[in-house]
Amino acid sequence: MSHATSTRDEVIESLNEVSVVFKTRRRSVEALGKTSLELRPRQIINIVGESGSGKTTLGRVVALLQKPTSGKVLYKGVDPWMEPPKRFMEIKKKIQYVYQDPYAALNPVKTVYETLASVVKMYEKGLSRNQVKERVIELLELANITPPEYFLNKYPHHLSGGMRQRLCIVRAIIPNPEVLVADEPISMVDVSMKASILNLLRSLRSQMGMNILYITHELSSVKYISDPQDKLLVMYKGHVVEEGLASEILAKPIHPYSKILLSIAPSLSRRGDDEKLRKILLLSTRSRIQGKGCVFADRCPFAIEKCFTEPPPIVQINHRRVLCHRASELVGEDVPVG
Amino acid sequence: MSEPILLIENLTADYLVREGLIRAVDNVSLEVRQGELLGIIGESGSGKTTLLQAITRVGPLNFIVRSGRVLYRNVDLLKLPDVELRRLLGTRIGFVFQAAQNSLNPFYRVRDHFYETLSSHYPDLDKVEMENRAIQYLELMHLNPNVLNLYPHQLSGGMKQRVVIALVLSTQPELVLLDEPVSALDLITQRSIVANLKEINTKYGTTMVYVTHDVESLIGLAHRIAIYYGGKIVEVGSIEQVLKDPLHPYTKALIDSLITTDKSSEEVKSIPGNPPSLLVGHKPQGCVFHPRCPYVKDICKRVEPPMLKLGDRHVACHLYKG
Amino acid sequence: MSRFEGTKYFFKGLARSWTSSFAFIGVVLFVAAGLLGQFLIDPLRDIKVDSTKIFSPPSLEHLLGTDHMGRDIFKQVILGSRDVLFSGLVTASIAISIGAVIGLLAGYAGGYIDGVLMTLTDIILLTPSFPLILILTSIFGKLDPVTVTATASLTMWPGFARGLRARIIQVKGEAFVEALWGLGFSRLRILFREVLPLVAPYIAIEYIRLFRGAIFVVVGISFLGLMPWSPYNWGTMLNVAYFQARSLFIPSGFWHWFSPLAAIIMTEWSFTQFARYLEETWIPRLKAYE
Repeated sequence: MSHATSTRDEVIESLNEVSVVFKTRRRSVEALGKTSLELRPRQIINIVGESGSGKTTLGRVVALLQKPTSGKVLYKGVDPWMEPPKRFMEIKKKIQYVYQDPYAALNPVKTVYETLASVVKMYEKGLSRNQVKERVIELLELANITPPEYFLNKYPHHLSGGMRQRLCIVRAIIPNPEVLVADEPISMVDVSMKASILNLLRSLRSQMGMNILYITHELSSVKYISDPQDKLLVMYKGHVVEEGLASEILAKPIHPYSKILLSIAPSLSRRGDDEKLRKILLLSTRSRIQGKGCVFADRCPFAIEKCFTEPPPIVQINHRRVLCHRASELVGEDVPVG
Repeated sequence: MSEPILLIENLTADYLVREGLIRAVDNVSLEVRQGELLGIIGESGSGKTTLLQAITRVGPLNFIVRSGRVLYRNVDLLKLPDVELRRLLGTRIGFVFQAAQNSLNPFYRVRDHFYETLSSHYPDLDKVEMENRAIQYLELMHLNPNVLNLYPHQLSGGMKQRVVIALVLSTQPELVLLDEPVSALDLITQRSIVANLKEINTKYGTTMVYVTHDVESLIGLAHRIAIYYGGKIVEVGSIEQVLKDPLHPYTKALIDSLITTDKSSEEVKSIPGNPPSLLVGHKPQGCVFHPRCPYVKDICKRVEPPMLKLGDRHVACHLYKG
Repeated sequence: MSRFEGTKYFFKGLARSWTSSFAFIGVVLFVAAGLLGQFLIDPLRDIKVDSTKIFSPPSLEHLLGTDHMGRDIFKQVILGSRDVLFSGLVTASIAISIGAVIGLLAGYAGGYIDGVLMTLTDIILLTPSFPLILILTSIFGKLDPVTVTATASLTMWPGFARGLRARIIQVKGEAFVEALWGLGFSRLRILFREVLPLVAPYIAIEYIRLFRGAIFVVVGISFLGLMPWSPYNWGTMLNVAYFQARSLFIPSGFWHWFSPLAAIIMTEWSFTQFARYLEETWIPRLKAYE
């Protein structure tokens, strides 16, 4: 397989102050608040958040599946949404998307061979039948679906969840995309198979030079998949609350939400009866009335009056950006319990 | 915390699908100790949901119990007539089934749900007493008592699940069975509900059996865990022992595959191969895990390993001697 | 599932259910009678008018007895199945074609086109079909079979179109459709190469149902004497039995009116049950296995 065409520092795609607002007859919902992002080759950008955080919307905007209601998306300096349909499609093919549910992303009446072959034939014209088959087998081996020959005429329901997801991933790389958006690729997969999918994504980054936009709600998987230079965005209710290097945020989170997420992330070294853990979790269940201020105020253990009335600023601390009134004070602070 | 409140003995149950019979519960024996929070961990397709279904007879009745006993305080639940079992389920034993938040009646307020549940099992309570009890249990689940006046659609997923648990707890059971009660919710809500359950277990001594595929959710919260694979229990022990020093090769492989913050990426390994078919006649001979086991010996392919007791732990594996 | 496995599965499923097995046999017998009957039975030779045998009871020579002219009833029924088969086939084929085009178009294109097509569909759906057919056929006098068949099929496609459209809309919303579009497949290609195979079983099963309905309509029209096709058409046989021979009122005439009626009912039943069997076994296998 050939490698992605961009050089190391060139920005492949950028999002400038994009936001997405869904309007229904009665009200409008801001699914994604003003967000900016730059995607570079050989990089993993992690997006962590719960459902409703806007992470999926952000992923779909990057993958050109969702048009932003404001702001601009640029692919190598060009706004795809302003281009004629044919040119738009050419750009779209370079940004592929992996769905959370691998079963829904596959046609249940097509065999593994048919699923991959149809895409191979579209991108590599003029191959003989045998050559197509060889390509498909190559892809299956990359996906660790072995023995490949055995699986050629099998249907999606014959594969385990982990295999299905890996199949979806190798299908997505046939167009040789520069960006791969993976939306919660492991959340519908059994525990014992999650690592294999993350390994595949890592190798796509290192061996094929792609940019991987990895969206998840499991912070521990961010640690697993990331290299020191990879970024992390923590999102809550449509806003990026903390942004910086993944390794740094995991070591020393500043935003209260990041702190909570990290303290409840699973760790085998946790004792059997962890009171502190319990107390942190029970803190988050309090709910006060939400005012005009910070979206996280009602669940925040550090909230002060200002947090409920004024929206927080973006505070820059070294290479970190934190959306919080008390950002500078909270560096190094633990979540208070008791 | 030591005598068994629930004793499952050699339970075997099949359920019917188009392809044939699925042996989801295969000669399962398990003891649930009074006052503990016991986790039953099984991945998808392991058959763990059928285990609770066979005991409580709640849900689609497409299963057949082949053999075994389920003793609750010396009464075999399997032999009880439906009416009596239902009475027990409303008073001494509670059951929170999967996606239970969807079982709330959209036309009833939370208050009405409590009236209905409590009055059918405790007919002597009057409305005021029922309301007090409802408030008591709602607060126990960290819910504001004014949710009593709300309809289910006005509550978030997490709140609905908490209401369901409060409803079950309000009948004051001494044993609560839970089947994946939090899987459809977001992470912090999931973990906080489990923490809530642990809090209740610690304060009131209510025994809980929590069936899930997410072993991480129980870290730091359960006392003991039982590992379910291919319709069988392969290992039981305290959660600390099992996680730090797993005995069964499947348990070990499962823990190795967990992605946790204290592991480096080289330490995480997926389990090769596929979960076994539970179709009667298609199961692997001998030990159900042998096709994927890195320590497989000849005897594993022929003879099913018996459950051995090693101190306070149990394991079904030929690597060990009783 | 390979073709061979699929066939094996089909017969295994049949073996499990008496109803489905009988239904299948019924369908096979009907089709066999319709296709082969005309070659095995020569009306001039085998169905002779014989005034000595009026309304004779079933015997070895005349399996279902004879009618008011002494003609063999059983042979008439067999011969009659041909008309029923072919008119049913034509009607159902026209209906499925129209319905498929409209259903696919409306479901897949959506928007304005969907709105227009569905309004048209609803208008026809809400018009009572039988009266419509009767009015049309009586306006044009005693018509030839083709026109009657065509009219009948026009009233039968709307229900199917709606059902197909619903399924198309559902499939269209699946993630894999968007995924394939994102990979560069054209909308048309996705429709014909990916979506259509998925709904093909539904179309096939509906075809069987439409066929059954078509039989009903054709027989009904023949019974009312509006379609002069052939004297052995079951509907026409019933017409003759009721209006001309008055066999309903003569005890020995029982077999005359009962035979075609029984043939109609058994065929209808077989097709209905067979469609249901296919629906239960074929479609679930396409759905998620976890």
